[in-house]
Amino acid sequence: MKSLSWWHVFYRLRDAREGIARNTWASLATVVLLTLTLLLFGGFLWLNANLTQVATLLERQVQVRVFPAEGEAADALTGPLARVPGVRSVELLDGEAVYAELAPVFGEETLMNALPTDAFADSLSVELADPTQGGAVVDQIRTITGVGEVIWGQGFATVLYRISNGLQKGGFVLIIGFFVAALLMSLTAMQLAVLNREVEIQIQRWVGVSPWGIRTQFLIEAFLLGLFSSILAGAVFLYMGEVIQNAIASLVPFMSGQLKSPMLVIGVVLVTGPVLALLGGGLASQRSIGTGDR
Amino acid sequence: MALDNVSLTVPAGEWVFLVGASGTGKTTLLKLLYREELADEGRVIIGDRDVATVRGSLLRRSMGIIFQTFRLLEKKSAFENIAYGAEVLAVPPAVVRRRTEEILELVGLADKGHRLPSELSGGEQQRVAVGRALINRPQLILADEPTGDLDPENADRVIEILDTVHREQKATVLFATHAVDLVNRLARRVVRLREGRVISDAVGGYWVNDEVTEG
Repeated sequence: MKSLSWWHVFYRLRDAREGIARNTWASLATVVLLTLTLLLFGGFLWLNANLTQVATLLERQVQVRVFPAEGEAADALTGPLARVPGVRSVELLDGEAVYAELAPVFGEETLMNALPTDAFADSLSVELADPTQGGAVVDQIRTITGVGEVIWGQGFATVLYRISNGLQKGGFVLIIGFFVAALLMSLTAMQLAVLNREVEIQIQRWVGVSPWGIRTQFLIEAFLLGLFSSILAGAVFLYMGEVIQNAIASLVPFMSGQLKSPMLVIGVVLVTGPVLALLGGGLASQRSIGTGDR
Repeated sequence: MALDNVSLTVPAGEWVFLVGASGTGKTTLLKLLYREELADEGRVIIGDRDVATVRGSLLRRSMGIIFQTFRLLEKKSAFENIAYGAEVLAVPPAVVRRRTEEILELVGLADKGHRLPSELSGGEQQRVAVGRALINRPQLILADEPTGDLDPENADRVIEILDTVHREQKATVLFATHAVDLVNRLARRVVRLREGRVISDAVGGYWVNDEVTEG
């Protein structure tokens, strides 16, 4: 195979640029659809990464707080609670220590307004062996003598936990779906490009360009469309990521600083766009031009 | 079967007319030479290379192929159409420019290089197509009815161009045509085909009343 010269690259880039310009609307449609696919794909990746983060936080929250009944000592309940089936561990919480830990995160004012005054009495933190079975364990805890109020997420945390788990499992299927959609889009656009350049392909054959040489133009064109789509999608993530993070920070202060940065997603999108477009271009040109040097 | 029991030897630098009615196998014979089709039986040798064992792209780099239809790129100028034939083979721009200017001169379109195909006459468009086929200085020119759509004057111009290259560059020319006047005027080797077979092969032959006679 003849080595690739700079002139070759120059001519091919020029031809690819002309090809894109010539098929303005098809190229534009490809960029828009590829960008949308990348936004959906990247958005899902980001959501999934953050749900994992939230799920981890929630998992820590799926603990049962047990307050002793009036006149009862909290440490006397440690043994009975530890014997309840489904309880992994029991920890005695010093009310003042808990307050000191939470105040910097939520702010003193928020804590005082949101929680009852006895929220920082001594209590017990019960860790469940299986967070999804919390309801039954909590019912048993309530029957223990000396137990006063039992605070649990009333299933909300568990539901979110299940949703996040489901999303993570279904995520793989969704990601594959987005990949296939983007691939089909790129393939269709490149097939149109090949059809539009039938005469150019014939001329190249006649003067002795190899099938791979002919395909190069379409691969470069696909790469440029993919790169442009990726940059567009990356720019949207860069802008929207900051907007979303700021919005969440103002709405849910305790999540501030906990969200995953979109930079990793932007990186993935920047690589994914050109790769998908190249795959599509490669398949389309292989089908139309072939690889056999007849 | 398009060709049957055809055996031809064409020395390097010779000009050969392939004549015969439509469907007699002229185009198929040319296609076998530029490897668009492969022979079911027998061998096609160019130089010392068996066409069946050579990569098609390498084979065609030493050829100039011309058709009846011009197949020009509508959005490129005459200059760009000719240059394209060399650019796709990664010939450096300065060389492409020099060669293209020479070719435009040769085909008589030096003052029309900037024009788009739609701004040229049919004859001029064919000369651009001929120029594109000559840009890589081929040693073998395969012309399949290149004057079929042209008036006599423009057909003569095309012949003159090919004849110049044939004489000056010692290029071998295989020229498939129906044009009796053309064949007779040049009085070169004429191979006549009928139903896929060579029925006459006369050097300096004349083509009269559908028969080829020695010149």
